[in-house]
Amino acid sequence: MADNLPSEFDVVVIGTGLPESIIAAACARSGQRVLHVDSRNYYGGNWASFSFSGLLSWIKENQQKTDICDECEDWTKLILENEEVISLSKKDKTIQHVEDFCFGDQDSAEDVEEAGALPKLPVFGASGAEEAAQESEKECPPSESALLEAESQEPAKATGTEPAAAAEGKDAEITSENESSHSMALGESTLELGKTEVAPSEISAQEPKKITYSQIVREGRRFNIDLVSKLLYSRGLLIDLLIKSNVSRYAEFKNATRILAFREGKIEQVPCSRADVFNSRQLTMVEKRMLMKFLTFCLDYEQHPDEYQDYESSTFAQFLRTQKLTPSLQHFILHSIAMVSETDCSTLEGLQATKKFLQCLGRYGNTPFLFPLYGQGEIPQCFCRMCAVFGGIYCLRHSVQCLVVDTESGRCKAIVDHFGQRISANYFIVEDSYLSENVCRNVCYRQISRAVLITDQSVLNTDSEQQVSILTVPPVDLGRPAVCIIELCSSTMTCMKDTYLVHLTCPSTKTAREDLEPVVQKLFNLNTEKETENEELEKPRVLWAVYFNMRDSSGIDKSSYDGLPSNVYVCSGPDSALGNDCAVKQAETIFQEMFPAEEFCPPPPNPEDIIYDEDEIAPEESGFDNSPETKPEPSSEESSSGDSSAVKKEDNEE
Amino acid sequence: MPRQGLSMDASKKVDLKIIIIGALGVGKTSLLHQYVHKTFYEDYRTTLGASILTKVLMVDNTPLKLQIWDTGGQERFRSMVSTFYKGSDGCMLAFDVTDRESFESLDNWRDDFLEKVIPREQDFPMVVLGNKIDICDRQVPKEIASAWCKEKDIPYFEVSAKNNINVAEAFETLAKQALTTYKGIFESYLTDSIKLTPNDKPKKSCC
Repeated sequence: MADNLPSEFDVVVIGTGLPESIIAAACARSGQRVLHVDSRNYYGGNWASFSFSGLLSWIKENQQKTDICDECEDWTKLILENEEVISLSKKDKTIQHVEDFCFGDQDSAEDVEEAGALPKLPVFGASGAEEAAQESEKECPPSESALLEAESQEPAKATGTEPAAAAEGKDAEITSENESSHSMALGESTLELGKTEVAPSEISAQEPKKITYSQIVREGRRFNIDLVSKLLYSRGLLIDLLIKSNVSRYAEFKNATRILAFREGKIEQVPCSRADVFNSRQLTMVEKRMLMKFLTFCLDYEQHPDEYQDYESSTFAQFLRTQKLTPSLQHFILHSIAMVSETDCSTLEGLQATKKFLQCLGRYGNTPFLFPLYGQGEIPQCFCRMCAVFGGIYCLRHSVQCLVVDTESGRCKAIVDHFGQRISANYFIVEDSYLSENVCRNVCYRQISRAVLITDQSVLNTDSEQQVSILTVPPVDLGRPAVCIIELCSSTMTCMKDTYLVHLTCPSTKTAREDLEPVVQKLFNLNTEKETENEELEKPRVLWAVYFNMRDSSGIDKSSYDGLPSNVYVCSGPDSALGNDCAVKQAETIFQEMFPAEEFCPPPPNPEDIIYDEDEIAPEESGFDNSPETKPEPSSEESSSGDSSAVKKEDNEE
Repeated sequence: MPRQGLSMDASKKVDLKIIIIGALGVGKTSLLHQYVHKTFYEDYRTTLGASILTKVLMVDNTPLKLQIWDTGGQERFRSMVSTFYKGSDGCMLAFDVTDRESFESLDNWRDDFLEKVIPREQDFPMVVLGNKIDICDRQVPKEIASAWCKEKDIPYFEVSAKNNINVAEAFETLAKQALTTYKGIFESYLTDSIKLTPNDKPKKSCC
């Protein structure tokens, strides 16, 4: 089944994170021949999302300090006399200080397998979860790598060392190297397992919300855990780009439903839309008027310079104190609406941030934010798909050994991949993590502290369980950064029913655990003991947690990288901001540098036609739903056959 | 796709996502185009430009909107985005009856699919299409293919995208299966999702 890669392209893109995937799509759309590779067996790099078992594999990989000594084809003979070589990195070094914790009972999870999608055996247990456990699994619980190996005809038999399914470790200790006890992957054993698993399920059936660790493992594929925690601003660059380019059709979104604040030890909902403010029971009448007045002013603050020009050299926090706003309103505005630093943010910056938030209200819902169904990791993939659809060639599991540079011109001419194939191109896009230490030696990286928790209830329980919330926790010490928390419910398709996925992010000061655990302790119950303080009982219980630091390579000038040819461009990994503006701006800038005359991600020429069956079904009313397809015309059936062949032929001739 | 649960209202179409997978060159795009556009192109090109085709049809008195996702050519080096699989309601496995290897790789394609989808309580609707029966030089006998399909309990169709044989039947069978499964699922995810469109009318600004 192995097919050979062509040896010539216009653009080679290395890495499948968001900025480089946008560039790949833009290049393919403008007719460039694109080769897009990633050394991993998954898309997204540090923007990826994982199932639970996938994440456990990722954790294990990043906790191990092994040096990779890949046997590579000898490529030196491919290099000509007038050429030089820039080696690329052999191992990713962007993730550090990975610490994971299980707070549930791990013993019962020891032999639990992740539920697959194969037909079930006869049912033993009561609930669907139990049925899933008994599915006849000839294969080991899926790890991202097992089934994609082209060589392996029998993915099932892979290896016994499948770490994913049964991560072990003692309660509340770091689970490091985990050896799965499970080499048994046969149907019969699973049947027996199924029997023993019935008991726990009956218990859990009585207390419907008590999720066990073994359930998490079993339902692991219902989790889509992002390495990067972001939201999309409804009027932000990314949404605009998704719509403009029609890449939006590959994804669906959910509204963020709540903006939360943490003040005086309590979590409160922040009213930000007009309706919210009027309906709020927390605010007094006076406060409502104050807030409305201030927010209305912010929406076009530039028109009222007299209101703020005296404070242009103050911080936004100081400015707020001069306005008619109670302390709690000031807190809401500073931390949950503007989401800026109390010490480092100027009045103008704060006003601009507030305005941006307000302008995004109401476009799709009551908050400014959308979240992609199945997680942020979908977004780079959507752009990759667009690139593929316009001819881009995709190869995962494909490492690049080096860039080949023409000594005389100083331009990069080709890459050599790990198969020893030399592939030439005119432009090269390389994600930061692929560059060697040599090239990066002068670069000062920042870090992002991240934590992901699986919890059993929301931080703020209201009538509806299905909420997507964003909560900003101001720092205790003024100099430190605030912690941004995004809580996802199961209908975002990122976690199993009756659990929540909680993402914490802040720019790093220390290790992720040092930066974030204090906040986790304030808001969540980390006790494994059944006996807890009453106070603790009210807080959501953490079932599982991971902390890690991720390199922030955003905002680095290309000149900081040592010795890169002019036709080699660097894309950064994720930044710590909430939105995706950085990635989009970067992509557009790089694309325009390469192809100044080309339009950046225009809509594809032939949007999908909707074809009706001969039994005439009435065309949809416009505005009936939000489908991305063009609005149908009654005669679409006739016109489409004729037109589409003409249009498609044009495409094929590209 | 996660949608409003148990909506039996006939005036509201049921959206189903179908994906079509299989080795390079078996005719997936041609099958799609034959079904949706009733056209067939003689010269072979990897999918270029087309990615999702939509067909509206009536099945069991329910209006269905089938969103059929083509691979975009990413199967060439087995580098499909997982986005392709997410939220799919049914899967069409295709092979070329004149290409033995494409049949033998069906196991891998099927496993890949089951690996990538989010498990549900029901079985995933699937059909297998043996394409290019218009070509005499077969390498995969009908019996062999049928036996494989029977073992996996998947309906098998011998089809020709070129001569439009059995294509609609295959799609409609899958659509029926997918609809039945869809109706049988009690989704706890009862809220609709948002699809972005250039035509969206922004709601009244709230501030």
